[in-house]
Amino acid sequence: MTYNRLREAQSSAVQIIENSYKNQRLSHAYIFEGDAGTMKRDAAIFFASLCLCNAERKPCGECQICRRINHSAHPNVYHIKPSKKNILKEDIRLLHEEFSKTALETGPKITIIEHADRMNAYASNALLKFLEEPHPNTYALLLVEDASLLLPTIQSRAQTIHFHRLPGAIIEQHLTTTGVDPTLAKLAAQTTAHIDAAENFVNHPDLYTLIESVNQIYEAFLDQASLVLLFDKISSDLLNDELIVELYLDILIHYQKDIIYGKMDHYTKIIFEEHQDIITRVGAQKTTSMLLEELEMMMAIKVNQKHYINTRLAFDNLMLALERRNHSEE
Amino acid sequence: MRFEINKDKLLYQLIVAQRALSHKTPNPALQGIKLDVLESHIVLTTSNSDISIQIILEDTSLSVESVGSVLIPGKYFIEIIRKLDGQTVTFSQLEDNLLRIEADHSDITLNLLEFDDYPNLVFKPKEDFIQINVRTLKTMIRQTAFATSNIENRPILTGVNFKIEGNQLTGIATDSYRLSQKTIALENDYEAMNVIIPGKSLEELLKILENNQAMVEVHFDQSRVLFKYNNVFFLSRLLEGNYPETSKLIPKEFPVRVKFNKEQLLTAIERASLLSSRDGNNAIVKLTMRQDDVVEISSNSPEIGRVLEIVYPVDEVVGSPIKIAFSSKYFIDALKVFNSSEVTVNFTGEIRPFIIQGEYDEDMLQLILPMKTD
Repeated sequence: MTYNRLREAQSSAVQIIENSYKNQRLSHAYIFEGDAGTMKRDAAIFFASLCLCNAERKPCGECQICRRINHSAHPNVYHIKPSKKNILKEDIRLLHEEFSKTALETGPKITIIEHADRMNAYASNALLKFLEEPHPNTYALLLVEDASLLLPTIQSRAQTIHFHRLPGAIIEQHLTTTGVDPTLAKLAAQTTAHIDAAENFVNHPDLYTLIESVNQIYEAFLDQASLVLLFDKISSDLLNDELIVELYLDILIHYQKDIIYGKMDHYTKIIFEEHQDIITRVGAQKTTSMLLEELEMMMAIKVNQKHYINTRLAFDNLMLALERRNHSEE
Repeated sequence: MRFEINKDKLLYQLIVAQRALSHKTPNPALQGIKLDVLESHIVLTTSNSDISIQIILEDTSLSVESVGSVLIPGKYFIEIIRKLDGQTVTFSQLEDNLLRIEADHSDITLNLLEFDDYPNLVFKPKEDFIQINVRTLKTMIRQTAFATSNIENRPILTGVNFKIEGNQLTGIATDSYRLSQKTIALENDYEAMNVIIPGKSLEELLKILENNQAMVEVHFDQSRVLFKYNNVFFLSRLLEGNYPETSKLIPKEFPVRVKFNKEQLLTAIERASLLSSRDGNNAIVKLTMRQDDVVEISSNSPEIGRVLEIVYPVDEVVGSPIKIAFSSKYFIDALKVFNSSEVTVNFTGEIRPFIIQGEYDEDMLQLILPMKTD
């Protein structure tokens, strides 16, 4: 593994890490904050390899040490990620136990906590205690999409490094030059933060079906059919898979945004151009404030979906809200 | 890589090596047994990261055709060897990371693990090491490790503190309510050392050490401890941090001293702890010395009943009568590690720690903090 792509995409983050390492001013805890696909995990592997690799130009990415870090097989690098939905206190307790012992191999110990925002309250407090009394020669890397979801006391004990998303225009351009449908390219550029992630996104096998089923929801609205009943038909395929739900929500959110843009005459920003007709007609039947309220509901489901919520119920509520129309205009 | 060896000789060593095999570990490489085949011997390595075992196997039945190193899935490998018929078993490495095992009528191929993912374990002995008789070391571990804490709030207390000062090696364990300490004399003076070995590692070590007169080499380091016992290397990580200074906790003067027959005292406390509303182990038992120097061991739980046991001290009691309450589990645990048949309980006060010592348990003491009762 070479780190060229990482250096290209996140040059400032890499610079910060490298400089602190060179000057021996590494902080004992870091928050890597950035949207999904901003290569936070790669940067964490880079960090660990930098600390442990023995090559002259480190991290070399090729020696046995670097390769083992890459395979999550190095005993000095301890990985934590949500086992189901959340990171639990038990996970942090095991970390504490692990770090209270001397390292199996020479060099510092590094823990990489992915989705650190998914720690429950007990785990957060346990981690806080862990950060309050840092073990010597250890580093904690917390990877989050939004650092403000961490306890303020955790934030204040760690140095935050921001990972920037690649400008949407670049992703969109890259995708269209490789022959991706312009609508999908636009959608991918809005939802993902990096070229790799965007490519995965447009290659998702269910993408077309999901777009079509979102479209059906709005069509059904125009036909005055019951959205709750319609959603009931598709929900069994949809709700079983967390990733599909997320994708569905992303599409729904952008469709809703299109309607708002349409209403405000920002036609160039519309993603689903081929559904322009539906977009305008739906917009005509609702007030902007209603549309914004619905959008907020969608966003809320997206955030809460990562916690234990009744997704089905949340969607039913959303569908009920979407059924409303502006009676004064009728 | 290709070699043959007597099956039972290999199995015997594998069973020892199995002690350090991980079953649940995030790193699949640790579920493997690393096998290095050299010209004159083979080396078996296992590790669960807390402890690692390396065994050098030299045997007349070993015949090496070609050398090599592989990482074998441990669980399957040991079960296969255990079930094989015949005396001699032949191993050879095939292409595509496969191991072929041939014995009698069996021909087995096993998928190997990724050798490169195995941690880089260093079993290098130090030049300056101490030597202890197996029995002495086992006794020392048995008499201390039980008193370690099993709650990880303070990880450091889950270990036994080993200190070398001059020619003395001291082991100390405490969970902050009780403390056990044992000192042994070494043959020579050594460089001062102060390390904390996880209690769980020591318990595993106990299972590997046999009851004989062999010597164990102990190689202390700042970040690890290596025990060498015959052809077995046993490596443990250490707990990091400073062990609390315990010497101040141990009282120096004991105004009240009572000597008991160990068995009588033990059974009296065990019976007294039976009727307790708390779960068996945490029962509170009271010890009351009467004016006539007879000792009463009692417990009382209003909803179950009460027990009164009379124990006669075996020697004249020193000091004035005292009344003290304690956790029966701690007292029973402590009494069980004594080799002496008579033990002396030394009191300093009703709410001050007391210590137990035995005539034939030189340089060993068990300290217990009393409990408050109304």
